[in-house]
Amino acid sequence: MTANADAPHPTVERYLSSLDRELAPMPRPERIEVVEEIRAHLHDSTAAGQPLDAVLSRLGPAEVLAKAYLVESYLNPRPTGPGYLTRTFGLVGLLIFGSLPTLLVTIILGPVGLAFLLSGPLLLAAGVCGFFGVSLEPAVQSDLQSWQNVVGGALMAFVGGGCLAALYHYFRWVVKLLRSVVHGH
Amino acid sequence: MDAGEWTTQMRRGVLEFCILRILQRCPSYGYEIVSRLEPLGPLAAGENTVYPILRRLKSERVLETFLKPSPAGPPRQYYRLTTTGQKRLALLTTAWQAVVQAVQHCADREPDS
Repeated sequence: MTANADAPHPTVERYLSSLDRELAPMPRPERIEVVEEIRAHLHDSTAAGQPLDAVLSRLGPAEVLAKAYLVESYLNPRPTGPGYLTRTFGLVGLLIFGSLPTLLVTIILGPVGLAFLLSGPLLLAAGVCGFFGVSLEPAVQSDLQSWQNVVGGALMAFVGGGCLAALYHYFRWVVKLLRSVVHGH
Repeated sequence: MDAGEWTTQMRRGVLEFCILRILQRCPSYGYEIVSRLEPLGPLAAGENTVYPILRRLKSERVLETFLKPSPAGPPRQYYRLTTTGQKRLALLTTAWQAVVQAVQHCADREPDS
């Protein structure tokens, strides 16, 4: 019995999916790498003329192979990447140089975004109502023409939405940066 | 404990050194590394030992991997030494020479008494 080079072989797939299941405690990206590596090994061995059965029996049952991986990783725990000191300095540096920009970005983008996003649609509504001769005063007070209210309101809503979106992306970026400094990669 | 078991225990320690030596010259992938260890008698380790060691050496950043398409079949994961790996290899080489010398000389003469 030899594995076909191209078509997925049911025995191979069964073995690999069982290996994947048994490697559950391993982080997913690493698990995928292991499974793909064993897939390549099975392919290379059978392409070299070895019977699939023999190759699989040398690898051993999937759960035993998985245990070998887990034991090897458990007995020799992963080093924490850049040393503790480097990470601490990185974190302190990030706090020192990142705090002020974050404060500025938050107090500018946050209130401006909220205020514009709330008042923009109101002004727009006032403008539209103005076309029909309905006044929204005193809820919305504007000395401008109705069309100016419509255009201005739409612009304000757009700018407000943009500010909040920018703030959101800024925070996502900061969290990513923090994570990479803490985990050291 | 027969010689076989003793060899197994010794191989466990030496295998990592051999893998680093194999990768010293040029990058290689799992199947090739296993095949190169296979004819080496006492060092012939099963793939179910070699692959987990490769994975551990990678997580220790002694080795790094890159994917290379294979002429036929799935892409191969190639391993190569990192700077840490080269340092580790140099360290193990020194340690190995010390062990070999010690084993050779341990019975040279009786200790003074």
